[in-house]
Amino acid sequence: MHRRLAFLAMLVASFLVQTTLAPELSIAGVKPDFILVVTVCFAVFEGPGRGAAFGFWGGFLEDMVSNAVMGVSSLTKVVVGYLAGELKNRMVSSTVLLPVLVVFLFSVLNELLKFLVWVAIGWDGRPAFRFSVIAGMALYDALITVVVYPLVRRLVEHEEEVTLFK
Amino acid sequence: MRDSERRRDRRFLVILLIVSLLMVTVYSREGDKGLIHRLQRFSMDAVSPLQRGVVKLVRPLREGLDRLTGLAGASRERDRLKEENERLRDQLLEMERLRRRNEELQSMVEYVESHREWEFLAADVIGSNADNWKDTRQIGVGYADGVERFMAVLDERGNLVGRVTECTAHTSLVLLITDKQCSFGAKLERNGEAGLIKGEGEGVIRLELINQDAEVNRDDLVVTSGMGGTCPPGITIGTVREISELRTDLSRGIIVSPLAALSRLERVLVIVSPRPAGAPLPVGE
Repeated sequence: MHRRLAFLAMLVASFLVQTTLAPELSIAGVKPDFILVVTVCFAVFEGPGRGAAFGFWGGFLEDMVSNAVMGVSSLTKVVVGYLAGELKNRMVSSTVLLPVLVVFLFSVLNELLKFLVWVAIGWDGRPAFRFSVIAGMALYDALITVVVYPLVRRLVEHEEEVTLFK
Repeated sequence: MRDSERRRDRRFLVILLIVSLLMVTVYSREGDKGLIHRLQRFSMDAVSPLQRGVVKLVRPLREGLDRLTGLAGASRERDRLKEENERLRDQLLEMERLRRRNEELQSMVEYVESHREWEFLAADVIGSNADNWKDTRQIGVGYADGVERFMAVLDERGNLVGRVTECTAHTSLVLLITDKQCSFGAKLERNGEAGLIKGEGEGVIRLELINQDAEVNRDDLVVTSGMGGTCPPGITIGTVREISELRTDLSRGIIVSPLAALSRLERVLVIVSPRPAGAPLPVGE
């Protein structure tokens, strides 16, 4: 029960922060993707199945309030959540540096996948591809991981007997 | 991770991917009035009050961030403007230099035009004396161009600068009128009282009149008298700046301010005709 509650709490919190706070935190037009960061952090503790589930619902909520193609964020975050979950028990780190790097890479992957899908379906409204924006966003995501990762760990550690990244 | 768990996760992944792809497909195929589009619009409306509330709450944070990023932008803008400012300043200095050069050349032409009885040779000042003991300038014409020793040298407005003392094929050394070794026959233009001008060093010229009782006033114009034959008469030298009491040798100390801007000579005129008729007047102590 507690695990489901933690899942829901993180999902709602990351969605609310993403829709309300993230636009206010934009720097040079680049805003962080809180949902992605929480998805990756959650997945590396909880594994691929739950990571994919978190990514799906996070992406779904994101799609619901965006004016982009419905389902694209769900799709990309499912992939990211699943792959990040595959790192469970494979990464051992006592610092937050490794998760920061992982978030950076998955952030780039997430955006590249988005563009791939937009191109594949021929969406007219897709923005111009600019890797500088993707890199900026990935950097920003990596930066907020320093704060988000310990919070996620605190929430999931109640249920986990084996602590990862420790 | 157990194999059964892995298989379950993969099945779960495939299901989620299919659902996502279905959403993408339906969204792409339905029109603006389709169910998913309407649901999306409704969600956006529902969230907007929440967003407005948060915007109010985090405004100070936003402003702080804006200031930070604005500072970075302002710094870049400052650097760009600095570079542009330097470039424009260089352009302005170059334009000013060209304007001055143009004025000088124009004055030179006017002077030469008004003295058709003489022949001039224009020359660039290419150097100055390296030590502090001689007031000389090196000019870019020499005997190959028709320059000879003792020829008078004027500035671009026709004011006396000095005389040529040394000649090589393509350069000459000009002894300025302020040098202690330099003297010219001179007179007061107002009353024709004749005498000698002698350099005193440190930018000063002294006029020694033959008639010690001659009337001299401040700002009287001093011109060359033609005495000695090295310089034609009537060339402006300077104006009387200071008249002192009788000195021990019973001569009066009359200090003349040169009209030529000797410290910033760039181009000069050498009088090549009439040629100097003899050696310069001796400089007595």
